[in-house]
Amino acid sequence: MIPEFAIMGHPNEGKSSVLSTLAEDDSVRISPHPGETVHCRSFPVTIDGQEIITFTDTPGFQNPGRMLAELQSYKETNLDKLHHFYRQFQSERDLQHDCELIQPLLRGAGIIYVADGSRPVRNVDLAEMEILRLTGKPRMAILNCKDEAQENIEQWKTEFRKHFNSSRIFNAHRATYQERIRLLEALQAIEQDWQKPLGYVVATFKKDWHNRNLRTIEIVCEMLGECLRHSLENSVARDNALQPAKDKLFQRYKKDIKKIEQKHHQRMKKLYKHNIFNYQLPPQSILHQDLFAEETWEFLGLKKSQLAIAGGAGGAALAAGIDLAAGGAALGLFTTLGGALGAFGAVYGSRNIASKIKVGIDPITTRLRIGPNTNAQFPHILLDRALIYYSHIINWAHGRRDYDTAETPKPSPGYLRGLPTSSLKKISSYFRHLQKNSDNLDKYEEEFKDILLNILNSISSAEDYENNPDH
Amino acid sequence: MKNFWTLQDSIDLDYFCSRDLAGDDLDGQDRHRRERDIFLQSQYGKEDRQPTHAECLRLWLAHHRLESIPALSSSAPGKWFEEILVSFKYLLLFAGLLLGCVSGLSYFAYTGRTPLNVFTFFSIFILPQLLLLCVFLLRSAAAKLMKQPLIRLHRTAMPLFIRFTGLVKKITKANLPCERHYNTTQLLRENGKALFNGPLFICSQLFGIAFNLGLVGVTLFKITTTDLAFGWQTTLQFGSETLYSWIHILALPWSWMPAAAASLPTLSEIEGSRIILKDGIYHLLTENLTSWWPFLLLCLLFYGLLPRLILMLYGFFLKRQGVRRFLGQRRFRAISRRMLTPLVSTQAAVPPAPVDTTAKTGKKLPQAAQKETRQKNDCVVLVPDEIFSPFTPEIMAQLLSPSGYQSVEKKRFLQNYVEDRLLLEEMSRLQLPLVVLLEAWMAPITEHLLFLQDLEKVLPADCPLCICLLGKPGSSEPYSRARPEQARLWREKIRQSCPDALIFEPQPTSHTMEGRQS
Repeated sequence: MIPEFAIMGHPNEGKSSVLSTLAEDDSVRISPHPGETVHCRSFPVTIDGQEIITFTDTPGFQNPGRMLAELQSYKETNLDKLHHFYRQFQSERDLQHDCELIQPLLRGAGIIYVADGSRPVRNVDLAEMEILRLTGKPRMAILNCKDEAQENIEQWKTEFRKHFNSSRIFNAHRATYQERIRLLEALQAIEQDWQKPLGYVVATFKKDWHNRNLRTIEIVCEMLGECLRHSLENSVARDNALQPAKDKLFQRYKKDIKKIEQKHHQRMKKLYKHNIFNYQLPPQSILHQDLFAEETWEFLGLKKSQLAIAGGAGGAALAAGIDLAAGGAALGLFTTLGGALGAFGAVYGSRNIASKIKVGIDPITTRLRIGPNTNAQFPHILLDRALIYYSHIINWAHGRRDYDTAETPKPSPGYLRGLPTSSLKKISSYFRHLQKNSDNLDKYEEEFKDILLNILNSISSAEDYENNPDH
Repeated sequence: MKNFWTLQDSIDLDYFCSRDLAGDDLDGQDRHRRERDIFLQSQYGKEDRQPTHAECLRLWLAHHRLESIPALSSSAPGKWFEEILVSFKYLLLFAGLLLGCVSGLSYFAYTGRTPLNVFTFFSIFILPQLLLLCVFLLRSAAAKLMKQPLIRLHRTAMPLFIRFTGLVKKITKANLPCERHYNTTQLLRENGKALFNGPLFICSQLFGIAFNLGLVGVTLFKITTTDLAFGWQTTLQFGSETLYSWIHILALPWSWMPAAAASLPTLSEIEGSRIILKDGIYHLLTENLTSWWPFLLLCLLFYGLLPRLILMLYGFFLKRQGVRRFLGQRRFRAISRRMLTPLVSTQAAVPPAPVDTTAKTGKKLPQAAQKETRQKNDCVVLVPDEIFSPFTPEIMAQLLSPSGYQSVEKKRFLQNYVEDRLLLEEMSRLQLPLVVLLEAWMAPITEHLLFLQDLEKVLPADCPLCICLLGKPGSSEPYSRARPEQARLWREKIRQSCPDALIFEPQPTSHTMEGRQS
């Protein structure tokens, strides 16, 4: 039998939000008005076309007191009380929702009970928990706190201990990938028979996530390649004023780069299944700033000292070849000089976006040509922005519909500045080879991908996204 | 299943992959589904062992080859390229052999006036090959040190091969059936650079081998059929002893052979084959003049032919390495990853159409008439069980005073269903107005609304029912004002259940506003 988990609880406690986040399905109808879910809706988790487990969204309890009273009135010990209740009241209009919500339990489903931990426990909640306890099904409780109030959580936990096999705090609006996985892992503990399929689901979810990270890396590599190699041409008569033509072409270039970035961000978004609702960036995100805005260039990418180290490594690597050709006679002089020049070039040439974009008249076609951009900071900015976008995307729970705009902290630096120097050198080497489209790009790309995968993994496994909102 | 990737396989893979990416507009998920199906329908899908990347690609390739059989117009180009490469190899073999024979024959065009100069033979046929070998080794070492690809043979051999391919196409007037979908130039110039590096390196070694074989053949032929004399001469002031020691150094590679000593000219033979212009050649002895040929032949074999054979073996290594690099491309990695990653779906089935409850009942929302309740009067208050205790007489007075009521008795309700039913019975005997406190911050549920409905039914006609909507209790206050949207919702629901009930909310005070602020 396929394990089924019914998401149950009082109306408007966030059952659909929990399910939406758990199933990564933003098509789940989530309404601010209670009682919108009137039918059970199943969300099968299929792996390779085979249904492994099912989550079922249920309507909220409408008559928990009466239901409990009826169930407690059945005195026969051998009676299947739930079935009996269903048979007795299925045609009664007032109990329509309650009969509907117990249907998954009649099929043998386990229970995920969702309650809003930010409110106090009420008798109706106790009745609901008691009903679920009476069913004897494997059950787990989830505290889905809808606001910041913490004072009732202990009260809920106390009641959960009496009625459920286990309980967890799971905020459907903030749950990260890791929390989702942990919730699924916790479900394994409530019923031994379901450990295997749930273990398989967890393993597959992890694999699926890894796969998405790899695809993200590919998207990032493609975006960087397209942006770094992008160039534009426009015809211009030699006697015309060159500067307006240059300015116009530069504006077009910037527009194109933004388009490329946006296109690949959209691809990333699609990977994480944000399809139905318009994904919104957090209000305080630095991504609201234009790619070429001063603030972006101030906060993202590398610091000058880091750029110097990364640029110096590149210069030194090139000059080492000259030293080698000199058979060591130069005593590493070229390497040292090359390193210094590379460092100077990287810092000097990366002050702003326009500083290293090649602009000039092509001697063959006599057309004005702009790009590609060889600014050392530019790919770092693009990468940092992609990483920030990734962190927003993966931490935007599917059960969420908007951001709480109360907090607007200042943007903080991107991810690259925190990386060790060895990684920064490898990243910069990759960018240089990508710009040149060199023959041994593959090797540098592999190194870059490894570093990027580590970064993505650390972002995915970050414990508290909300406390670090810009990331 | 064979694990060795031929050029044909690799090119077919490139072709099918390019066609796949260009031809359809499948999105990532559809492509994933299709490729996962290929994996699952194969033998690997039934095994626990995870196939390697190459095995996945082979599976994918086999599937696409099978699929493309009915469409002859799109047959894969791998075989065609394989045939071209084989022809290219034969061409180079022939060219090398011809060049070796022609150069040998022109060198051995012996007139009998002077013996053939050993130094000339050496500088034409041995030294350039040795130098080429040294350059190759140095370049390889430098490339290794500078972390560059070992050899970039495609820079010289590839243009030749591309021209040859074009020539063959022109001569045979053969258009690749797949040309419409497949950019062969892109394969040769970009995607296939790694792929063709090894085979073209092998081709160039084949050319070298054929050249040396031709030369060795001609040398043997001439030695057998003609009377050749080898001598040496130099303007430099070095004697026979120096030459003798050089010869011994050069002969080191075959010095381990049993007859190695016999292959080298002795000191007296070297001395005896020295040509001095002013002395003429008549005093030179035949045994001295013929003593050089075994040494020269072995030089050709060990410095010409053998390194080429070794490099050809290295070419096979390069070929494998090239295939590995070729298969390691991002687009191919994506294929195997899609094949190996299980398809996860957590999407729900299409939801059933919403039930129009108003259509069934044929009722519309009743518009309850609000009544003013400003008349001061005694009343009984029903207080939810959970907040019963905090509602002291003072708080109750504070809550009810704006409505004009004064609580004379408070009763507990919402304890449980049975108690509430008993309470209804009790309420039927009530003689005072009834005020029901409701926690409007909770979602309205049928049970509560039915209770209110039943309450309204059982209450005597002269006992009005009033409902006070409360907001969430604070840490120090038992109630607050409900949020507008919560109050609105409750009002709507209450109007449906008990249209005659009077509804009011606490007056806004400093503490009752907490609920709204939160």
